[in-house]
Amino acid sequence: MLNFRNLNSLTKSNFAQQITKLKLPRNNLGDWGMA
Amino acid sequence: MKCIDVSSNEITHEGAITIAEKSVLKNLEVLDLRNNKISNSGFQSIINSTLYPKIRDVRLDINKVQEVGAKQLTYSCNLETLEKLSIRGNHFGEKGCLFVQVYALRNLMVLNMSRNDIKDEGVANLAGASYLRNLTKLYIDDNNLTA
Repeated sequence: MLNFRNLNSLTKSNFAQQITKLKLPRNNLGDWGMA
Repeated sequence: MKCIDVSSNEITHEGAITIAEKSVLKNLEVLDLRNNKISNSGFQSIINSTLYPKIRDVRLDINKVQEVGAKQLTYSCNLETLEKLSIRGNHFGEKGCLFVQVYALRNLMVLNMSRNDIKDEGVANLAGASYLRNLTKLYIDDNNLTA
């Protein structure tokens, strides 16, 4: 399950900068995941 | 980033406000926030955000927006690019049907207001909408309409 910590790592990766469509449904991001 | 789907993630008004006020997704076109716990203040922030100049599709189904939150649509002026608004499974109610008839939503093509505690009076309000001239699909199923 994806949470704030691993999302933060993911979005800072090199390949993530090229992403145009990001689907993260049914995880546990919560409000912290939006920061 | 043109599309982000964070549906079903336990996001409340606080997360919605963060998205609306601190995001850097200036090219975002589709924002999917279905099945979260976003209430009136979160809805207000999303619809008043100036950070999404290209937004065309907002999905807020199954959240906790009520009439008082819906009223914020009347103050919003940043929704002219919006083509699709889906708010199924909230609590817009009768007056909420009035609040979607705003100039800011003049380019809206699809409006989903299913399961929103709407009764006959609400539909009558919708019928009088003069600004929704581009609307081609309107969903109001699973409300409390009579024959």
